Amino acid sequence: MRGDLPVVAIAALAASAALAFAFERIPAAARPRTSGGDFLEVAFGGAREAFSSAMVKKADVYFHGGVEAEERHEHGGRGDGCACEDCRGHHRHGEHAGAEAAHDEAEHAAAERRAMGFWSGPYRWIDSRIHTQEHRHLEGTDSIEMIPLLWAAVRADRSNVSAWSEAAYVAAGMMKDYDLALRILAEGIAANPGAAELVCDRGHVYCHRLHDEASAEKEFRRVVEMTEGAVNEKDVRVRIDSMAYLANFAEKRGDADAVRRYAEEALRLAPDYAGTHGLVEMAGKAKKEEAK
Amino acid sequence: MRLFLRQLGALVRLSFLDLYRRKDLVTVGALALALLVPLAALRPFGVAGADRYVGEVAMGLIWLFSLVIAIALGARQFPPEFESRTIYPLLARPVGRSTVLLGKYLGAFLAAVSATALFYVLFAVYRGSTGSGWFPSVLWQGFVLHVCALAVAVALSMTLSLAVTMSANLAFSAIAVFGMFIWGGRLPELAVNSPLPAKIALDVVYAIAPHFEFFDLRQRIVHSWDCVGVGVMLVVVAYAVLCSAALLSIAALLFRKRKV
Repeated sequence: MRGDLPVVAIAALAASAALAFAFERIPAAARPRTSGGDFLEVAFGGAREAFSSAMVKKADVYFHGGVEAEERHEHGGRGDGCACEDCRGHHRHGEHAGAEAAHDEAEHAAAERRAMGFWSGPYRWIDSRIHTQEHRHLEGTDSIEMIPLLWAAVRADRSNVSAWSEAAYVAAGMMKDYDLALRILAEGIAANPGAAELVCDRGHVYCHRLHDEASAEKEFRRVVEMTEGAVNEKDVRVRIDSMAYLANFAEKRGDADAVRRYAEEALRLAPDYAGTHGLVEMAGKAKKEEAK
Repeated sequence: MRLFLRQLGALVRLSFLDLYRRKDLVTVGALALALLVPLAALRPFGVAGADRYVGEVAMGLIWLFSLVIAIALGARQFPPEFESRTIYPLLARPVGRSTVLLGKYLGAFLAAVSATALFYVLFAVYRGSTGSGWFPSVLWQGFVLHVCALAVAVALSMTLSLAVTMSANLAFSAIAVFGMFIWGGRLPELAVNSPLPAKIALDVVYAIAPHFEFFDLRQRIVHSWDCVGVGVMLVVVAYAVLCSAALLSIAALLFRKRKV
């Protein structure tokens, strides 16, 4: 039997080489449909998405000093993130909108537990004092602590647009490192050429952080082009937000017609969106200015 | 009294030798370095300066390795002695059964503490080198509570080693220690949302199982929170002492009933 082993091994090698050769000959259209990415993407596609989302959530936990959302809002009844001023800035995409009450309830619950006596529940008393549930945020340069987690999120799933966006926000809005934010956005846009949200974010960085209105206008115009005929809510909102910036630039140039056109389109696309209301208001103001 | 202390000292020395002769520490140290060095060398998006994620992973590994060492040390104090029958000459010295139990417990506990202390020193050196402070008070507190956790873990695995086989002991101890460490604090909420029999079971587990999550100050250490109040520390240390004493009492009972 031992003497047969080389023969078996050579036969197995030959069979696998023949299979590989035959597979090469199969036309691409007839091959199994995979995403065509690297090995990790093929082997762990779903796991990578889950890992990426977990990393974004972990970055949020770091933002709150290591306190989990459910611990922060354990008795708030929602556990869906927090709604204080700083958190609203951090979660600016509106996914946590409407959670103001949860924040107050959580603070109230935490205060209640701090006031709880030892004998009314010794284990809970110990737990609430060992594991902090107070509300705290990373600020300024300390925000860099979120960067590795967001980096891991985008490395795991390069199509996670909100992770790219979040990383750029941390760099620009919190760390005030605008070069880093632009680098992140450039990388994110290269990985997701259709993501208007990231182009819009780059416009924000140029407009609000670098005060480079010419570059910002270019980015917002690109967003408007990219979202032409958009139907999903997210793209429509990004479009309206970009149009609001363009309207603002037009208003500065005294181009009331352009402002009116943007407002009309926004009204047609999403009449109830807050951004639309702002645009309509701006158009009214521009009209009055023109009349004067 | 001197004889008792000498006997105890000899037993403690044996446990120390057991840990360091097996080179378990070298293995876990190499594993930790293999994980942490590449992590620490990362420059996400080309920026340097973030170190909490390394601290969190390092702390997680310290807890994992120290608890594994504690459980393994506690679990292998008696079974090899029974198997190789070396317990006979030990008890014929004469050394009382309670002295053997206490000596072996202290030996395993102190060996686990020495390994953990080494991990904490390395952690402090890393944190200090990144400018996060060498030995902040909260790190000392974390170490004290970690030692308390080791005391309970060693007592648990040693007690179980007198009741079940080695493999069953390792499995039960790991489930109890890591299960309570991760989910202990969430048992009441789980119980509230469970049907009646499960609710009763969860309430019983919450009431009697050792709460390893009480000893976990990782969040405070990694995210630089304030220290825990002295009163809370004393309560948790007292809880660890009570838990360990209760487990060792059961172990003493099992050891006394055991025919050797």
